[in-house]
Amino acid sequence: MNTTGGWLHSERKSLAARISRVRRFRNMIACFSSLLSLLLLIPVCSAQLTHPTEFQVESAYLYNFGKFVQWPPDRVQASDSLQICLLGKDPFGAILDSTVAGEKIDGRAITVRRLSTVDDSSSCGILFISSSEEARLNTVLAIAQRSGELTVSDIPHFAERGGTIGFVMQQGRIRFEVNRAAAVQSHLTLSSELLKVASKVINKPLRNGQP
Amino acid sequence: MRTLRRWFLSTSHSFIFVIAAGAVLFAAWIATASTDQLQSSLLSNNPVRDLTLEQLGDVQVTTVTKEPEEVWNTSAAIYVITQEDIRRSGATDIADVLRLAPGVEVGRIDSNTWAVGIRGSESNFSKAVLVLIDGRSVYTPLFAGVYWDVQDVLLEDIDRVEVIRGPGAIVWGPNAADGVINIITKKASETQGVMVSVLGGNVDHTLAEAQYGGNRGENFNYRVYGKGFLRGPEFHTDNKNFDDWNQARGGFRADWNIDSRNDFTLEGDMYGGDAPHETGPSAFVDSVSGGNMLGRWTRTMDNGSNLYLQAYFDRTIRIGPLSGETRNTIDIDFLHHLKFGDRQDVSYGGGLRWSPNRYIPKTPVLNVLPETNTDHIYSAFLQDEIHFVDDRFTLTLGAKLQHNNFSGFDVQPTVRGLWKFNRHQSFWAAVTRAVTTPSRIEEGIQINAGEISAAPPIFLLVSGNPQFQSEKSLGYEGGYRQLLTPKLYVDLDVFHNNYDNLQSFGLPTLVGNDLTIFYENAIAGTTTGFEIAPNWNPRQWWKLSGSYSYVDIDMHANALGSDISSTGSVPTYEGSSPAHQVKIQSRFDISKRFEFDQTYGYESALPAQKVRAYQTMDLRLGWNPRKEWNLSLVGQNLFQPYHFEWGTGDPSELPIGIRRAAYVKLTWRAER
Repeated sequence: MNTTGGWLHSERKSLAARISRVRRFRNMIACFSSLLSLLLLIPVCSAQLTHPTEFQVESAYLYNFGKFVQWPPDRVQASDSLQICLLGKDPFGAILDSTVAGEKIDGRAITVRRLSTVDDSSSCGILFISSSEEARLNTVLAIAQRSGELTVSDIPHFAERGGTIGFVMQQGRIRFEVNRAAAVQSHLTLSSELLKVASKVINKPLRNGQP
Repeated sequence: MRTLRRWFLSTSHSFIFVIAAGAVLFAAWIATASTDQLQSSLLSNNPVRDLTLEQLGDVQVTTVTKEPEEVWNTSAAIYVITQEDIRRSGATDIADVLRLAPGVEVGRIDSNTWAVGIRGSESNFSKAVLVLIDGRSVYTPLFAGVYWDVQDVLLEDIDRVEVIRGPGAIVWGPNAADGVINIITKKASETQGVMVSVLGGNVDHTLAEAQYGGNRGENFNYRVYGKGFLRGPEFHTDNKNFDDWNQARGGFRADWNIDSRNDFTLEGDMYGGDAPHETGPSAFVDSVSGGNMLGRWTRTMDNGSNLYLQAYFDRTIRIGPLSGETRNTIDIDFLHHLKFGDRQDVSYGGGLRWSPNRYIPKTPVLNVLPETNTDHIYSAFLQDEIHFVDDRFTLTLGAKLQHNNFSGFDVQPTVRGLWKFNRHQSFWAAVTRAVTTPSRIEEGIQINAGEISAAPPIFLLVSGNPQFQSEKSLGYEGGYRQLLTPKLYVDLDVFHNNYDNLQSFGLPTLVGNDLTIFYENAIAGTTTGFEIAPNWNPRQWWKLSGSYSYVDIDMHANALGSDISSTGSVPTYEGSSPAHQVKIQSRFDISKRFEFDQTYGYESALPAQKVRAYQTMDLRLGWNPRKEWNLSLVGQNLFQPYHFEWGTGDPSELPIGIRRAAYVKLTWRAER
C-alpha cells in the first residue's frame, strides 16, 4: 500500500517536472524565434550597389552580340549603322543608350531605336522583344525572321519558342540560350564563340513561320 | 466634416496621423535624395560594357525589385502574391495564403471556416469580396459570400494571387465592392512532369498530392492532379473538438495553343468531403461535394486587340442535418479589348449568370423561401483607357450596368487616373461606386426562434425581406508607388469609403401571431485608412516584404434595430476588423540547399468577436538535398499554444483557439 502510494507520488512528481520542462521548452522556442526574428529584421544598412543590375548586363550583351553575328550582305548595305531596336515596353531606359554611345562594330555606328510595332523593324539588325509582347510572340518572330533580324528577349523559354537568343537567369547571373535553327531561318551566321559561351544550344525551327 | 474633425482631434488618430505623415515625408525625402543618385548611377557609363561574353556570364547581378508590369500600370491598389511567396510561407490552404497581402483581414474561426475581409469588411460571410479561381467566381448567392471550405487547388499550381483592395467592380464581375481576390493557376506547360508530395503534422494530420503533366506536341499541354487531406480540430475550451474534417479533390487543366492567334483552355475539378460546423450547442457535419468545368477561348489580333470568351458550369451540394442546398451555376462572359487610334484602349463586355438552386429544409426551425429559385445576374460594361503625354497620364472611365433577380438594375461607374511621374514613381487616384447585391438569405430566410408567450400564443421569427436592397458604396482612393533604389520598392495607398444600405436587423414587429425581426438596410457609415507595403531585397539571398494597414470604421444606424447576430449591427461592423495589421515575410537562402523563412503577423483586437490583439510567427526550413527532392519543416503560430482569431457567433461562448502547429512535408518532382 505504502509502496504503491510512494510510486504514485513520485510518478506524479516526475510528470509535473516533465510538464514544466515541456513548458519551459515551449517558452524557449517562442523566445528564441522572436529573438531570431528581431535579429534578422535589423536592417543591413550597408546595402550598396556593388553589383550591376540585370539591365546593365543585358545591355552589354546586346552590344556584344553584334560582334559575333554575320548578317546577309544585302541587309548590311541596307543601313549604315547597326540598329538595336526595342519592341514593346522598354526595360532599359537610358542604360542601353549609354552602353552603345560612340561605339562602333566593324566600322558601323550603333543606334538604338524604340518601336511600338514589329512592322517598323525592317531596318533593325538586333531586335530585343520586351516581355510586354509575349502574347503575340509568334507573329513578331515570324515577321522579324523574314526580315533577317537577330531576335533577343528575356521572355521565358524564348529560344525554345523559336527566338534566336534568350536570356536566362542562373544563380544570380545572366546567361543566354541560342536556337541555331532560328538563326538559320533568319539567314544569320553565328560565330562559334557565341555558341561556345551559350548556356544551351538548341535546334528548333519556328513552326512554319505563319503569323 | 464633423467626422473628419473628430478623426483628427481624437488622440489615437492624431498619433497615427502623425506617424503616417512622418512616413510620407520620410519617403519623399528618400525619394528626392535617392532618385538623383539612382538616375546618375543609371546614366553613367555601363561598367560591364567592355567585358567579353564569357565574363558577362559570370557577373553576379542585382535583380531590380520590380513588380509585374501590370502592377506598375494599374490605377488600383493591387498586390501580387507570387508562387514563391506562397511556397515559402508554409501555408496549407488558400485562405491563409491571403494573409500575405496588405489590407486583407483573415480570421480562422475553426479548422474549416474563415472570415475574410478587405479594408474593414471582415465578416464570417466574406461578403463584398469577389473571389475568382481562374476566372470562375466562387461567390455564393445563398449568403453573398464564400464557402472557403470547398475552395482549393494544389497550392503548388498557383501562379499568383492578385489582390485588389477597394471597389473593383467594372471588369471583374459583381459583388466586388470591397475588393477582388483573383487566384490564377499556372499554364499546363509550366507543370510538366510528375510531382508527388506528402505532409504530416499535429493539426494538418495528412495532406497528400500527386500531379502528372504531359503534352501532345508543344501546342497541347495538360495536367491531372489529385489531392486529399485530413485536418484535426483546433483548440476548444469546452472540449467539443467537433471540427476535424477531410476532403478529396481531383482535376485537370488542358491548354491548347491552336495557332499563334488562338488559345483554348479547358479545366475542371471535382471534390467531396465532410465539413463539420456548430450552431449554438449542437455540432453537425455537412457533407459537401461538387465540381466545375470551365472553357476559355482567347484570340489575339495583330493590332494588339484581344477577344476573350469564357463559359463555365459549377455544381455545389451541401447537405447536413440542419439544412441543405444544391446549386448549379452556368456563366458566360465575354470581353473585347481594342486599340482605338494611338491613344485609347477600349474594352467592353458582358456576362450572363444563371444559378438555379434548391434550399432543402431539414428542421421546422430554419428555411429559406422560396425553396427553389433561379438567381441570375446579367451585366454589361464599357471602359475607355485614354493615354496622354507619351503614355505618362492614363485616364480610365468606365461603367457597369447590372441586373439581378433580387434588386433589379444597378449602375456602377468609375473614374481612375494614373500618372507615371518617371520610371521610378507613379501616382493614381480613383472614385468608384459599387454595389453588393442581396442574397437568398437576406431576402428569404425564416428562423423560428420559438414561442415567447403561451397566451396569447406569440412566436419570435427572424425573417428575410423581399424588399431588401443592394448595399451601396462610394469609394475614394489613391496610391503612390516608388522604386526607391533598385532593391527597395514602396507602395502607399489611402482610401475613404462611404457605405449606405448596409444590412441590419429591424425592431420586432407583430405580424399575425409572430413577433418578427426583418432584415433591413438601415446601417450606413465610412471606412478610412491606409496601407504601406515596402518590398526590400537587401541581398541576393535575402528578401523582405511586409505591410502595415490601418482602418477606422465609423458606422451609424438610420433606424432602431436589433442586435441579434454576429453581423448586422453597428458594434459588429465596427468591431470585427483589426484597426492595425502588421505583416512581415522574410525569405533567406542560407545556401544553395537550405532556405529559412519567417512570416510574422500582428492583428489588433476585434471587440465584437471577443478577440484580443495577437501576434503570430511561422517558421519554415526548406532543404533540397537533390534536384528532385525537397523537405520542408514548418512551424505555425509558434508564439502561443493557441490564440483566438474570430468569435463563434454565440456571445456566451469563447472563440475557438487556433493551435500552434508543426508539419513535415516531403516533395518529389521529376521533369519529363
